[in-house]
Amino acid sequence: MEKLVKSPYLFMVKSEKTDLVMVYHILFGNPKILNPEGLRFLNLFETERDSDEIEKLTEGDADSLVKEFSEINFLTPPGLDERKFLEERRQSYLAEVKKKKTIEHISLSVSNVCNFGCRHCMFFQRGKKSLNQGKIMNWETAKRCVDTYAGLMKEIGTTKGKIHFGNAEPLINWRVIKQTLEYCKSLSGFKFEYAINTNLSLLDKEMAITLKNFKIRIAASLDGLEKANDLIRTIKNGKGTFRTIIGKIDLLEEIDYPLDGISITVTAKNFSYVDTDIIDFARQRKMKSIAFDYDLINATEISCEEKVEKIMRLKSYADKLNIYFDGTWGTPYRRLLSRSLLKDFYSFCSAVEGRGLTFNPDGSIKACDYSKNKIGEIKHLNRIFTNGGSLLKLVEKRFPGNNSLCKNCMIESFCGGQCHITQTANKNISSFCDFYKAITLALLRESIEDSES
Amino acid sequence: MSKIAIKKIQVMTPKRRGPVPEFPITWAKKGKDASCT
Repeated sequence: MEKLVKSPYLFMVKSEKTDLVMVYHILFGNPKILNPEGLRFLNLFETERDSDEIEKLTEGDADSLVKEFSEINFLTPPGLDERKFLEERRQSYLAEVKKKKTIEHISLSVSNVCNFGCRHCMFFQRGKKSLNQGKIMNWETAKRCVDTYAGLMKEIGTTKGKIHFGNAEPLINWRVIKQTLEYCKSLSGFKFEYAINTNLSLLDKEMAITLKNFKIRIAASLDGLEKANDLIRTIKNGKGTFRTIIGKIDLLEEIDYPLDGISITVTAKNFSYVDTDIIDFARQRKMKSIAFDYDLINATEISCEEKVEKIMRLKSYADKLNIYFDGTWGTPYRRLLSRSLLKDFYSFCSAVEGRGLTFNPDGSIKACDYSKNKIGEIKHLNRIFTNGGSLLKLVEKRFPGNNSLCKNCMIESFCGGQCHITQTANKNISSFCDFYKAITLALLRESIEDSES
Repeated sequence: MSKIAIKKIQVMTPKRRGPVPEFPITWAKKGKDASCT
Protein backbone atom coordinates (compact mmCIF):
# COMPACT_ATOMS: atom_id res chain seq x y z
CA MET A 1 0.00 0.00 0.00
CA GLU A 2 1.27 3.42 -0.89
CA LYS A 3 1.35 5.98 1.87
CA LEU A 4 -2.01 7.52 2.64
CA VAL A 5 -3.17 10.45 4.70
CA LYS A 6 -6.53 11.80 5.83
CA SER A 7 -7.87 14.32 3.33
CA PRO A 8 -7.78 17.92 4.60
CA TYR A 9 -11.31 18.30 3.22
CA LEU A 10 -13.00 15.98 5.70
CA PHE A 11 -15.68 17.49 7.90
CA MET A 12 -17.09 15.89 11.00
CA VAL A 13 -20.57 16.24 12.48
CA LYS A 14 -21.34 15.14 16.02
CA SER A 15 -24.61 14.70 17.79
CA GLU A 16 -24.97 15.13 21.53
CA LYS A 17 -27.40 12.22 21.65
CA THR A 18 -25.04 9.52 20.42
CA ASP A 19 -21.35 8.69 20.25
CA LEU A 20 -21.60 8.18 16.49
CA VAL A 21 -20.06 10.77 14.20
CA MET A 22 -20.67 11.60 10.58
CA VAL A 23 -17.69 12.26 8.36
CA TYR A 24 -17.88 13.57 4.81
CA HIS A 25 -15.69 15.21 2.23
CA ILE A 26 -16.63 18.86 1.65
CA LEU A 27 -15.87 18.58 -2.07
CA PHE A 28 -16.97 15.03 -2.85
CA GLY A 29 -19.50 14.17 -0.15
CA ASN A 30 -20.07 10.45 0.48
CA PRO A 31 -21.05 10.84 4.14
CA LYS A 32 -20.34 7.93 6.45
CA ILE A 33 -21.43 7.43 10.03
CA LEU A 34 -18.68 5.95 12.16
CA ASN A 35 -18.63 4.51 15.64
CA PRO A 36 -15.77 5.62 17.95
CA GLU A 37 -13.56 2.72 16.82
CA GLY A 38 -14.11 3.71 13.20
CA LEU A 39 -13.18 7.30 13.95
CA ARG A 40 -10.04 6.13 15.79
CA PHE A 41 -9.09 4.17 12.70
CA LEU A 42 -9.62 7.13 10.38
CA ASN A 43 -7.63 9.36 12.71
CA LEU A 44 -4.65 7.01 12.44
CA PHE A 45 -4.14 8.73 9.12
CA GLU A 46 -3.65 12.16 10.67
CA THR A 47 -0.09 11.33 9.73
CA GLU A 48 0.99 9.50 6.60
CA ARG A 49 0.73 5.73 7.00
CA ASP A 50 1.70 2.74 4.92
CA SER A 51 0.35 -0.80 5.26
CA ASP A 52 3.10 -1.97 7.59
CA GLU A 53 2.31 0.77 10.07
CA ILE A 54 -1.44 0.10 9.84
CA GLU A 55 -0.87 -3.60 10.46
CA LYS A 56 1.04 -2.81 13.64
CA LEU A 57 -1.68 -0.46 14.91
CA THR A 58 -4.69 -2.67 14.17
CA GLU A 59 -6.05 -6.14 14.79
CA GLY A 60 -7.64 -7.79 11.76
CA ASP A 61 -7.57 -7.09 8.06
CA ALA A 62 -7.80 -3.34 7.41
CA ASP A 63 -7.37 -3.57 3.62
CA SER A 64 -11.03 -3.39 2.63
CA LEU A 65 -11.62 -0.42 4.94
CA VAL A 66 -8.59 1.41 3.58
CA LYS A 67 -9.87 0.69 0.06
CA GLU A 68 -13.36 1.98 0.92
CA PHE A 69 -12.01 5.19 2.43
CA SER A 70 -9.58 5.70 -0.45
CA GLU A 71 -12.31 5.33 -3.08
CA ILE A 72 -14.26 8.20 -1.55
CA ASN A 73 -11.16 10.35 -0.99
CA PHE A 74 -11.31 10.17 2.81
CA LEU A 75 -7.75 8.87 2.45
CA THR A 76 -5.51 10.17 -0.30
CA PRO A 77 -1.87 10.05 -1.27
CA PRO A 78 0.00 12.82 0.57
CA GLY A 79 -0.01 16.13 -1.29
CA LEU A 80 -2.78 15.16 -3.75
CA ASP A 81 -4.37 18.27 -5.28
CA GLU A 82 -8.03 17.34 -4.94
CA ARG A 83 -9.22 20.66 -6.32
CA LYS A 84 -7.45 19.84 -9.55
CA PHE A 85 -9.73 16.83 -9.93
CA LEU A 86 -12.75 19.08 -9.33
CA GLU A 87 -11.45 21.37 -12.07
CA GLU A 88 -11.26 18.40 -14.43
CA ARG A 89 -14.84 17.49 -13.56
CA ARG A 90 -15.88 21.05 -14.34
CA GLN A 91 -14.24 20.93 -17.74
CA SER A 92 -15.95 17.61 -18.50
CA TYR A 93 -19.30 19.10 -17.57
CA LEU A 94 -18.73 22.26 -19.59
CA ALA A 95 -18.02 20.08 -22.61
CA GLU A 96 -21.51 18.60 -22.18
CA VAL A 97 -23.05 22.07 -21.87
CA LYS A 98 -21.29 23.14 -25.06
CA LYS A 99 -22.84 20.19 -26.88
CA LYS A 100 -26.23 21.37 -25.50
CA LYS A 101 -26.67 17.95 -23.96
CA THR A 102 -27.52 19.31 -20.52
CA ILE A 103 -30.73 21.02 -21.61
CA GLU A 104 -33.70 19.11 -20.18
CA HIS A 105 -36.49 21.62 -20.18
CA ILE A 106 -37.66 25.02 -21.26
CA SER A 107 -39.88 27.50 -19.55
CA LEU A 108 -42.20 29.83 -21.40
CA SER A 109 -42.79 33.10 -19.58
CA VAL A 110 -46.21 33.44 -21.10
CA SER A 111 -47.14 36.32 -18.80
CA ASN A 112 -44.99 38.82 -16.98
CA VAL A 113 -48.15 40.22 -15.44
CA CYS A 114 -49.88 38.98 -12.30
CA ASN A 115 -53.36 39.66 -10.93
CA PHE A 116 -52.04 39.29 -7.38
CA GLY A 117 -50.05 41.93 -5.53
CA CYS A 118 -47.91 39.98 -3.06
CA ARG A 119 -45.40 42.45 -1.67
CA HIS A 120 -42.62 39.90 -1.24
CA CYS A 121 -42.84 38.67 -4.84
CA MET A 122 -39.90 39.65 -6.97
CA PHE A 123 -42.18 40.49 -9.88
CA PHE A 124 -44.10 42.90 -7.70
CA GLN A 125 -40.88 44.45 -6.39
CA ARG A 126 -39.32 44.80 -9.81
CA GLY A 127 -42.45 46.34 -11.25
CA LYS A 128 -41.67 47.94 -14.54
CA LYS A 129 -38.25 46.28 -14.83
CA SER A 130 -39.96 42.93 -15.46
CA LEU A 131 -42.15 44.50 -18.06
CA ASN A 132 -39.12 45.56 -20.03
CA GLN A 133 -38.94 41.96 -21.18
CA GLY A 134 -42.47 42.22 -22.56
CA LYS A 135 -45.79 41.67 -20.85
CA ILE A 136 -47.50 38.82 -22.60
CA MET A 137 -46.02 36.23 -24.93
CA ASN A 138 -47.79 36.08 -28.26
CA TRP A 139 -48.48 32.83 -30.09
CA GLU A 140 -45.82 33.47 -32.74
CA THR A 141 -43.12 33.73 -30.08
CA ALA A 142 -44.42 30.70 -28.18
CA LYS A 143 -44.42 28.66 -31.40
CA ARG A 144 -40.93 29.82 -32.21
CA CYS A 145 -39.74 28.78 -28.74
CA VAL A 146 -41.26 25.31 -29.14
CA ASP A 147 -39.82 24.94 -32.64
CA THR A 148 -36.41 26.03 -31.39
CA TYR A 149 -36.62 23.55 -28.52
CA ALA A 150 -37.74 20.77 -30.85
CA GLY A 151 -34.78 21.57 -33.10
CA LEU A 152 -32.45 21.43 -30.13
CA MET A 153 -33.94 18.10 -29.00
CA LYS A 154 -33.42 16.70 -32.48
CA GLU A 155 -29.83 17.94 -32.48
CA ILE A 156 -29.00 16.19 -29.20
CA GLY A 157 -30.97 13.08 -30.13
CA THR A 158 -33.82 13.09 -27.69
CA THR A 159 -37.55 12.84 -28.26
CA LYS A 160 -38.68 13.57 -24.72
CA GLY A 161 -39.00 17.19 -23.65
CA LYS A 162 -40.37 19.20 -20.77
CA ILE A 163 -42.15 22.50 -21.03
CA HIS A 164 -42.99 24.72 -18.11
CA PHE A 165 -45.45 27.61 -18.21
CA GLY A 166 -44.46 30.23 -15.76
CA ASN A 167 -43.41 33.62 -14.60
CA ALA A 168 -45.76 36.11 -13.00
CA GLU A 169 -49.19 34.51 -13.59
CA PRO A 170 -49.37 32.29 -16.68
CA LEU A 171 -53.14 31.71 -16.64
CA ILE A 172 -53.55 35.36 -17.66
CA ASN A 173 -52.36 34.14 -21.05
CA TRP A 174 -54.38 30.93 -21.19
CA ARG A 175 -55.02 31.26 -24.93
CA VAL A 176 -51.31 30.89 -25.72
CA ILE A 177 -50.87 28.06 -23.21
CA LYS A 178 -53.67 26.14 -24.91
CA GLN A 179 -52.33 26.85 -28.39
CA THR A 180 -48.90 25.66 -27.27
CA LEU A 181 -50.30 22.43 -25.84
CA GLU A 182 -52.24 21.68 -29.02
CA TYR A 183 -49.23 22.51 -31.16
CA CYS A 184 -46.92 20.27 -29.15
CA LYS A 185 -49.46 17.47 -29.45
CA SER A 186 -49.38 17.84 -33.22
CA LEU A 187 -45.59 17.51 -33.42
CA SER A 188 -44.88 13.92 -34.40
CA GLY A 189 -41.84 12.20 -32.96
CA PHE A 190 -41.82 14.20 -29.71
CA LYS A 191 -43.28 13.56 -26.33
CA PHE A 192 -43.63 16.43 -23.89
CA GLU A 193 -44.27 16.65 -20.19
CA TYR A 194 -45.72 19.86 -18.82
CA ALA A 195 -45.74 21.87 -15.63
CA ILE A 196 -47.22 25.19 -14.60
CA ASN A 197 -46.67 27.56 -11.70
CA THR A 198 -49.91 29.34 -11.02
CA ASN A 199 -51.68 31.16 -8.23
CA LEU A 200 -54.82 29.25 -9.38
CA SER A 201 -57.12 32.24 -9.00
CA LEU A 202 -58.05 32.45 -12.69
CA LEU A 203 -58.59 28.72 -13.11
CA ASP A 204 -61.97 27.72 -14.50
CA LYS A 205 -63.40 24.28 -15.22
CA GLU A 206 -62.38 24.26 -18.85
CA MET A 207 -58.79 25.15 -17.94
CA ALA A 208 -58.75 22.58 -15.15
CA ILE A 209 -59.91 19.82 -17.48
CA THR A 210 -57.26 20.78 -20.03
CA LEU A 211 -54.58 20.67 -17.32
CA LYS A 212 -55.84 17.21 -16.40
CA ASN A 213 -55.99 15.98 -20.00
CA PHE A 214 -52.41 17.06 -20.65
CA LYS A 215 -51.28 15.76 -17.23
CA ILE A 216 -49.79 19.14 -16.44
CA ARG A 217 -48.12 19.19 -13.05
CA ILE A 218 -49.42 22.10 -11.07
CA ALA A 219 -47.23 24.01 -8.66
CA ALA A 220 -49.43 26.27 -6.58
CA SER A 221 -48.82 28.25 -3.44
CA LEU A 222 -50.76 28.53 -0.24
CA ASP A 223 -48.79 30.40 2.39
CA GLY A 224 -50.38 28.82 5.41
CA LEU A 225 -54.00 28.72 6.55
CA GLU A 226 -56.21 31.77 6.16
CA LYS A 227 -54.54 34.17 8.58
CA ALA A 228 -50.98 33.28 7.54
CA ASN A 229 -51.73 33.21 3.81
CA ASP A 230 -53.72 36.43 3.77
CA LEU A 231 -50.96 38.38 5.47
CA ILE A 232 -48.72 38.01 2.43
CA ARG A 233 -50.61 36.43 -0.50
CA THR A 234 -52.92 39.25 -1.48
CA ILE A 235 -54.44 41.00 -4.42
CA LYS A 236 -53.22 44.50 -5.20
CA ASN A 237 -55.56 46.23 -2.71
CA GLY A 238 -54.18 44.03 0.09
CA LYS A 239 -57.18 41.71 0.31
CA GLY A 240 -56.38 38.09 1.14
CA THR A 241 -56.57 35.28 -1.40
CA PHE A 242 -57.03 32.20 0.80
CA ARG A 243 -60.67 31.56 0.02
CA THR A 244 -60.14 32.05 -3.70
CA ILE A 245 -57.28 29.56 -3.74
CA ILE A 246 -59.21 27.00 -1.68
CA GLY A 247 -62.11 27.29 -4.14
CA LYS A 248 -59.74 26.37 -6.97
CA ILE A 249 -58.18 23.51 -5.00
CA ASP A 250 -61.77 22.26 -4.56
CA LEU A 251 -62.36 22.61 -8.31
CA LEU A 252 -59.32 20.45 -9.07
CA GLU A 253 -60.57 17.85 -6.61
CA GLU A 254 -64.02 17.91 -8.22
CA ILE A 255 -62.61 17.00 -11.61
CA ASP A 256 -60.46 14.31 -10.00
CA TYR A 257 -57.20 16.07 -10.60
CA PRO A 258 -56.22 17.11 -7.09
CA LEU A 259 -53.04 18.96 -6.25
CA ASP A 260 -50.39 16.59 -4.99
CA GLY A 261 -48.77 19.31 -2.94
CA ILE A 262 -48.48 22.98 -2.15
CA SER A 263 -45.66 25.50 -1.87
CA ILE A 264 -45.53 27.67 1.23
CA THR A 265 -43.58 30.91 1.31
CA VAL A 266 -42.75 32.30 4.70
CA THR A 267 -41.70 35.88 5.37
CA ALA A 268 -41.24 37.77 8.62
CA LYS A 269 -44.93 38.75 8.33
CA ASN A 270 -46.55 35.32 8.36
CA PHE A 271 -43.75 33.39 10.14
CA SER A 272 -45.58 33.15 13.48
CA TYR A 273 -48.77 31.96 11.85
CA VAL A 274 -47.41 29.10 9.73
CA ASP A 275 -47.41 25.95 11.79
CA THR A 276 -48.44 22.31 11.85
CA ASP A 277 -52.03 23.21 10.96
CA ILE A 278 -51.04 23.67 7.30
CA ILE A 279 -49.58 20.15 7.34
CA ASP A 280 -52.86 18.84 8.76
CA PHE A 281 -54.61 20.65 5.91
CA ALA A 282 -52.32 18.95 3.37
CA ARG A 283 -53.08 15.59 4.90
CA GLN A 284 -56.83 16.18 4.86
CA ARG A 285 -56.50 17.01 1.18
CA LYS A 286 -54.47 13.81 0.63
CA MET A 287 -51.47 15.77 -0.57
CA LYS A 288 -48.13 14.04 -0.72
CA SER A 289 -45.69 16.90 -0.49
CA ILE A 290 -45.12 20.35 0.91
CA ALA A 291 -42.46 22.70 -0.36
CA PHE A 292 -41.72 25.15 2.43
CA ASP A 293 -39.42 28.08 1.80
CA TYR A 294 -38.47 31.27 3.48
CA ASP A 295 -38.44 34.28 1.22
CA LEU A 296 -35.22 33.75 -0.69
CA ILE A 297 -34.43 37.45 -0.79
CA ASN A 298 -35.89 39.28 2.17
CA ALA A 299 -36.36 36.95 5.12
CA THR A 300 -33.39 38.19 7.11
CA GLU A 301 -35.57 39.58 9.93
CA ILE A 302 -36.16 36.06 11.21
CA SER A 303 -33.23 34.68 13.17
CA CYS A 304 -31.35 31.70 11.85
CA GLU A 305 -32.18 29.68 14.98
CA GLU A 306 -35.90 30.38 14.61
CA LYS A 307 -35.83 29.40 10.94
CA VAL A 308 -34.09 26.11 11.64
CA GLU A 309 -36.27 25.27 14.64
CA LYS A 310 -39.45 25.76 12.63
CA ILE A 311 -38.29 23.66 9.71
CA MET A 312 -37.12 20.78 11.87
CA ARG A 313 -40.32 20.79 13.90
CA LEU A 314 -42.64 20.95 10.90
CA LYS A 315 -40.57 18.40 8.99
CA SER A 316 -40.73 15.97 11.90
CA TYR A 317 -44.51 16.43 12.04
CA ALA A 318 -44.86 15.94 8.28
CA ASP A 319 -42.62 12.84 8.36
CA LYS A 320 -45.01 11.20 10.82
CA LEU A 321 -47.94 11.90 8.50
CA ASN A 322 -45.95 10.52 5.57
CA ILE A 323 -45.90 13.88 3.82
CA TYR A 324 -42.72 14.78 2.00
CA PHE A 325 -41.55 18.10 3.42
CA ASP A 326 -38.72 19.87 1.67
CA GLY A 327 -37.57 23.21 0.35
CA THR A 328 -34.67 25.06 -1.19
CA TRP A 329 -33.00 24.81 2.24
CA GLY A 330 -32.80 21.04 1.75
CA THR A 331 -30.70 21.25 -1.40
CA PRO A 332 -27.21 21.00 0.16
CA TYR A 333 -28.39 18.13 2.38
CA ARG A 334 -29.99 16.27 -0.55
CA ARG A 335 -26.89 16.73 -2.67
CA LEU A 336 -24.62 15.56 0.14
CA LEU A 337 -26.66 12.45 0.86
CA SER A 338 -27.37 11.36 -2.65
CA ARG A 339 -24.70 12.53 -5.09
CA SER A 340 -20.94 12.92 -5.36
CA LEU A 341 -18.92 14.97 -7.78
CA LEU A 342 -16.51 12.04 -7.94
CA LYS A 343 -19.02 10.33 -10.23
CA ASP A 344 -21.76 12.79 -10.94
CA PHE A 345 -22.25 16.44 -11.81
CA TYR A 346 -24.35 19.02 -10.02
CA SER A 347 -24.61 22.63 -8.98
CA PHE A 348 -27.24 24.28 -6.82
CA CYS A 349 -30.17 24.25 -9.24
CA SER A 350 -31.14 23.48 -12.81
CA ALA A 351 -30.49 27.09 -13.90
CA VAL A 352 -26.83 27.08 -12.93
CA GLU A 353 -26.44 23.52 -14.18
CA GLY A 354 -27.50 24.71 -17.63
CA ARG A 355 -30.45 22.29 -17.60
CA GLY A 356 -33.15 24.76 -18.44
CA LEU A 357 -33.83 27.80 -20.58
CA THR A 358 -36.49 30.39 -19.88
CA PHE A 359 -37.94 32.36 -22.77
CA ASN A 360 -39.30 35.84 -22.14
CA PRO A 361 -42.29 37.23 -24.04
CA ASP A 362 -39.88 39.21 -26.23
CA GLY A 363 -37.86 36.09 -27.13
CA SER A 364 -34.93 36.89 -24.89
CA ILE A 365 -33.53 34.05 -22.81
CA LYS A 366 -32.81 33.74 -19.10
CA ALA A 367 -31.33 30.85 -17.12
CA CYS A 368 -34.03 31.04 -14.45
CA ASP A 369 -37.65 32.20 -14.45
CA TYR A 370 -36.95 34.58 -11.60
CA SER A 371 -33.81 36.13 -12.96
CA LYS A 372 -33.90 39.57 -14.51
CA ASN A 373 -30.64 38.98 -16.38
CA LYS A 374 -30.89 37.96 -20.00
CA ILE A 375 -28.34 35.45 -21.22
CA GLY A 376 -29.24 35.56 -24.89
CA GLU A 377 -31.82 35.86 -27.64
CA ILE A 378 -33.81 33.13 -29.31
CA LYS A 379 -32.57 34.19 -32.73
CA HIS A 380 -28.97 33.60 -31.58
CA LEU A 381 -29.56 30.57 -29.37
CA ASN A 382 -26.34 28.82 -30.40
CA ARG A 383 -24.24 31.69 -29.04
CA ILE A 384 -25.03 30.93 -25.41
CA PHE A 385 -23.45 27.48 -25.73
CA THR A 386 -20.16 28.65 -27.23
CA ASN A 387 -16.94 29.61 -25.47
CA GLY A 388 -17.60 32.95 -23.85
CA GLY A 389 -21.35 32.41 -24.27
CA SER A 390 -23.52 33.53 -21.36
CA LEU A 391 -24.86 30.13 -20.39
CA LEU A 392 -21.44 28.54 -20.47
CA LYS A 393 -20.04 31.39 -18.38
CA LEU A 394 -22.82 31.06 -15.81
CA VAL A 395 -22.43 27.28 -15.48
CA GLU A 396 -18.66 27.64 -15.18
CA LYS A 397 -18.91 30.37 -12.56
CA ARG A 398 -21.40 28.43 -10.48
CA PHE A 399 -19.79 24.98 -10.68
CA PRO A 400 -18.84 23.82 -7.18
CA GLY A 401 -15.29 24.66 -6.21
CA ASN A 402 -15.23 27.72 -8.41
CA ASN A 403 -16.58 30.29 -6.00
CA SER A 404 -14.05 32.03 -3.76
CA LEU A 405 -16.80 32.99 -1.30
CA CYS A 406 -17.47 29.30 -0.67
CA LYS A 407 -13.92 27.98 -0.44
CA ASN A 408 -13.58 25.39 2.35
CA CYS A 409 -17.11 26.01 3.62
CA MET A 410 -18.56 22.89 5.29
CA ILE A 411 -21.08 22.58 2.44
CA GLU A 412 -18.89 23.98 -0.31
CA SER A 413 -19.83 21.57 -3.09
CA PHE A 414 -23.38 20.76 -2.03
CA CYS A 415 -24.49 24.36 -1.79
CA GLY A 416 -22.08 25.78 -4.33
CA GLY A 417 -23.09 29.38 -3.70
CA GLN A 418 -26.84 28.79 -3.18
CA CYS A 419 -29.80 30.07 -5.20
CA HIS A 420 -28.86 32.11 -8.24
CA ILE A 421 -31.49 34.72 -7.41
CA THR A 422 -30.53 35.02 -3.74
CA GLN A 423 -26.93 35.47 -4.76
CA THR A 424 -27.64 38.12 -7.35
CA ALA A 425 -30.42 40.00 -5.53
CA ASN A 426 -29.30 39.98 -1.92
CA LYS A 427 -26.72 42.22 -0.38
CA ASN A 428 -26.58 40.28 2.87
CA ILE A 429 -25.64 36.89 1.44
CA SER A 430 -23.74 35.82 4.57
CA SER A 431 -26.96 35.54 6.60
CA PHE A 432 -28.23 33.08 3.99
CA CYS A 433 -24.90 31.21 4.23
CA ASP A 434 -25.36 30.90 7.99
CA PHE A 435 -28.86 29.56 7.48
CA TYR A 436 -27.83 26.95 4.88
CA LYS A 437 -25.03 25.71 7.13
CA ALA A 438 -27.25 25.58 10.22
CA ILE A 439 -30.13 23.75 8.56
CA THR A 440 -27.77 21.27 6.90
CA LEU A 441 -26.13 20.57 10.27
CA ALA A 442 -29.52 20.02 11.89
CA LEU A 443 -30.56 17.60 9.13
CA LEU A 444 -27.26 15.73 9.33
CA ARG A 445 -27.56 15.39 13.12
CA GLU A 446 -31.03 13.97 12.60
CA SER A 447 -29.53 11.41 10.20
CA ILE A 448 -26.90 10.40 12.75
CA GLU A 449 -29.52 9.92 15.46
CA ASP A 450 -31.72 7.91 13.07
CA SER A 451 -28.90 5.55 12.23
CA GLU A 452 -28.67 4.47 15.86
CA SER A 453 -32.34 3.61 16.20
CA MET B 1 -2.57 3.11 22.84
CA SER B 2 -4.54 -0.14 22.35
CA LYS B 3 -4.71 -1.65 18.90
CA ILE B 4 -7.80 -0.84 16.87
CA ALA B 5 -10.03 -3.87 16.38
CA ILE B 6 -11.15 -3.77 12.77
CA LYS B 7 -14.05 -6.09 13.55
CA LYS B 8 -15.49 -3.55 15.97
CA ILE B 9 -15.57 -0.78 13.40
CA GLN B 10 -18.97 0.28 12.11
CA VAL B 11 -19.29 2.32 8.91
CA MET B 12 -22.84 3.25 7.95
CA THR B 13 -24.27 5.27 5.09
CA PRO B 14 -26.84 7.83 6.29
CA LYS B 15 -30.34 7.77 4.93
CA ARG B 16 -32.88 10.53 4.73
CA ARG B 17 -35.61 10.46 7.36
CA GLY B 18 -39.26 10.40 6.51
CA PRO B 19 -41.15 9.41 3.40
CA VAL B 20 -39.18 9.00 0.24
CA PRO B 21 -40.98 10.76 -2.59
CA GLU B 22 -42.31 8.38 -5.18
CA PHE B 23 -40.79 10.62 -7.79
CA PRO B 24 -37.19 11.64 -8.24
CA ILE B 25 -36.40 15.08 -6.86
CA THR B 26 -36.35 16.72 -10.19
CA TRP B 27 -38.25 19.02 -12.44
CA ALA B 28 -41.65 19.94 -11.12
CA LYS B 29 -42.62 16.60 -9.75
CA LYS B 30 -43.46 18.00 -6.40
CA GLY B 31 -45.68 20.90 -5.55
CA LYS B 32 -42.82 23.24 -6.00
CA ASP B 33 -41.47 25.70 -8.44
CA ALA B 34 -40.41 23.69 -11.44
CA SER B 35 -37.45 25.78 -12.38
CA CYS B 36 -35.81 25.48 -8.99
CA THR B 37 -35.68 21.72 -8.68
